[in-house]
Amino acid sequence: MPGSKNLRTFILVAIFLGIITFPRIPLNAFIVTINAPPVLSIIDDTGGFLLLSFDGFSPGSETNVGVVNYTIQSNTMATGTVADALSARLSGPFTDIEFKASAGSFTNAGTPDFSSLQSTSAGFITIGIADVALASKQPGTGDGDVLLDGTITVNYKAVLSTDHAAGIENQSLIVTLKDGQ
Amino acid sequence: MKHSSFRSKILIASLLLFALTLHAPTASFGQAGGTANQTVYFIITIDPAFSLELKSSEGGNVTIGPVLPNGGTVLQTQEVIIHTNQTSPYRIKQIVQDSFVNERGVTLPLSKVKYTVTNGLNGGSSNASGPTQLTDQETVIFTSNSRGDADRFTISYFVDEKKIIAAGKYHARIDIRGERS
Repeated sequence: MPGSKNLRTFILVAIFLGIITFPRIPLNAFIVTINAPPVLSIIDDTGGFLLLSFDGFSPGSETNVGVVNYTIQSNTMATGTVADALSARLSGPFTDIEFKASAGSFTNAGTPDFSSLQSTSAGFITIGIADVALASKQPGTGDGDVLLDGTITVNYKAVLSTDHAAGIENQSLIVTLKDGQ
Repeated sequence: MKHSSFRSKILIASLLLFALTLHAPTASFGQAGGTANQTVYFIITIDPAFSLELKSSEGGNVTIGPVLPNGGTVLQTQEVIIHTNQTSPYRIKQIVQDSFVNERGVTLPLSKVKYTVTNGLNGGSSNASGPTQLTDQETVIFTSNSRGDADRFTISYFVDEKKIIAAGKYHARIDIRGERS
């Protein structure tokens, strides 16, 4: 029966074609990108004004201690130690007055692997018109080493070097956070 | 492409069948008043279809950002369209192929990225209607209706990380795969 043979052949071919053209498991791939831009931020809580008052006018007289809290965030810190990560300078010199600062403790708002700030001196240091390091960046661990997130307290006071007439003196204080890159 | 390939194979199969039948002898050849019959068998098939299509604002890929600390939820969507003419239920799976790594080799844990899935417009149901963390496990995110109808749904990927993350662009590949239940 040639007709039956042809039919069988055709069915076999059709089955074969059917098998090899049966749809495979469909799969689509795509790329998800998360964009985290660089952040380097320092914000004080004083509202831009800090009043220091002397209790006398003779050499060695000191003002009250003004406390400023700085909220600091960075996701681009250089790895390892950055010696002058936090620094300060005055916009201009005071006359016969030494302006001093002392960085206090740093409170980490991130996870324990984040880096931190550590005061560069145990007590007050004099701030002039050139940048003076207040705190260094201490390494975090792993991927957290480039991250800094927390609050640091800095205490300020002024000391008279000679007798000083009554009056008001103003200068701006510029505090800088540097990522060390 | 698949359809034209299938048609080519059918055409080849048909030509083969014709070639075979043209050489088949007929029982009534040369007999006066008789009839000569030749049977040609046709099989008409409709290629089974089951494919996925991805639609996003970036032609398939997804970018989430900018991601800033305390910047709120940043969200991006991916639409998944299922084309099928088959009648059995199916499931859509999500497979995260890589970790999120930025250009400096910093890894962002998958748990920082979440997603939700809408129900289908044609009766399919979401398996992640609430915020769900990405994992490295193959995860069923959508189930078709009982007839396995064509459908479409949307995946929303987002990051609502409150803490700062290292700067950079983090990339990961995600596969969306369909499978018959």
